[in-house]
Amino acid sequence: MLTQLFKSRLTDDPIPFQPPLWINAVAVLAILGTLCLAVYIYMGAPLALTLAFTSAIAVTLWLKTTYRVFQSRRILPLYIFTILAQLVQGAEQHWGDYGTAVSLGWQIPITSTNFTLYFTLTAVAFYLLGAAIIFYQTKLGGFIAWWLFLWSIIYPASHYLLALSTHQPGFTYIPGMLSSPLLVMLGIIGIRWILNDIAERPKQ
Amino acid sequence: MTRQEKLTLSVAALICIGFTQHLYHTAGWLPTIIIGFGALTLGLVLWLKTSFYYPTDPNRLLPPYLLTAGLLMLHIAEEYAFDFGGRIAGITEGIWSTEMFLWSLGLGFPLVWISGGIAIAKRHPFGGFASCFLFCGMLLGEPTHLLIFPIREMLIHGGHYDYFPGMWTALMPLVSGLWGLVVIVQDSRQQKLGAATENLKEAGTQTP
Repeated sequence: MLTQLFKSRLTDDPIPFQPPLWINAVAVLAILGTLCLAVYIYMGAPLALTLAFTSAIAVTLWLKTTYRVFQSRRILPLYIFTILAQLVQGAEQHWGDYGTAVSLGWQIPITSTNFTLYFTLTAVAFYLLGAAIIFYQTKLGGFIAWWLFLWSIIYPASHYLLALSTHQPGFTYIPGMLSSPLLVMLGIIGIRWILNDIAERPKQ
Repeated sequence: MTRQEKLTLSVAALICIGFTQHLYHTAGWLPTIIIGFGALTLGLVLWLKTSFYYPTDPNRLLPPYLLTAGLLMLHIAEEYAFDFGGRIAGITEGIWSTEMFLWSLGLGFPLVWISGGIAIAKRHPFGGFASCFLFCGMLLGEPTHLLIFPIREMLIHGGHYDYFPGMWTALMPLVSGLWGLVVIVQDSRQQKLGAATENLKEAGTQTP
């Protein structure tokens, strides 16, 4: 009786792991939705809106480009260089206590330690794991590349918006401003690289 | 030895000496032995013995390298979150604090090993050094979070075997690091064998 309970019709035939391709898009939307809500709850609306805005553009561009054709792994040197620039900006932000500047300027409840932990160390870790995903030319890899390059353009803009929102006469230095132009430049080069690479491929 | 190889070897030796010195003066003898001698110096020796003259195929090396680098960064995040620097200072004579740990191993040194990913993709000799010290570091350094640090803390401060910062994420990069080490050794053997066969063929064609 008990042995009958554990019997099944499963076989040991080799079956490749092949979920339907649209699962990638659903997974990305599920992760981003959860992430945006978590950021809204713990860090407030300005950061959540920046994240949601970047996510919306990244998903749209991904669905129109590297969701249809694979993301080339030849982008990796540029992608890794952009991660390095993110780390450099993280260091500048920590050195100048950007967490406190953001928390005071936009009333975001976050400490400097947590800002560095989430937005520098953990983010860089996930970007590096994303590089491994890009290497295997998966659909998800295409989204990760779009995300990094778009974030590199949109996020640095927040430093200048924060400087403007202080309403102080003259130039106000916000930690992260010095390394921002490098990130924006790499973001633009990255986007151009993806678009050119797709355009240069033979039409199927 | 080409000019590029000489220059890369000099840079690698400078990184080994400079960072080991820095660790000795800040973190104390335990991290100096593990990172300075275990990861950097042993990595340098392994590099000279394997991929120095025959850089590893990037298509084989990059996946374990990127995986290890990402998992190591997650591990560093755990260490930073739970005051690894301060706890290490408690079991050595070092002066490390959370802030000093962050600047050394969280924001400074990763610039070296993340650059290694670019070097590997370009098949530059520096990629060989970066991969050897990263993988050696994972093999020797990560088990210490479970086998040495908590036991030493227990012996010095009393109490029982307990959590030490970095413990939960320590063994993940060890797994991918082992994968990477096997790739380096296998690829080096294949390339050396291929080069020896080529030399034999050339010698055969030159013989009248």
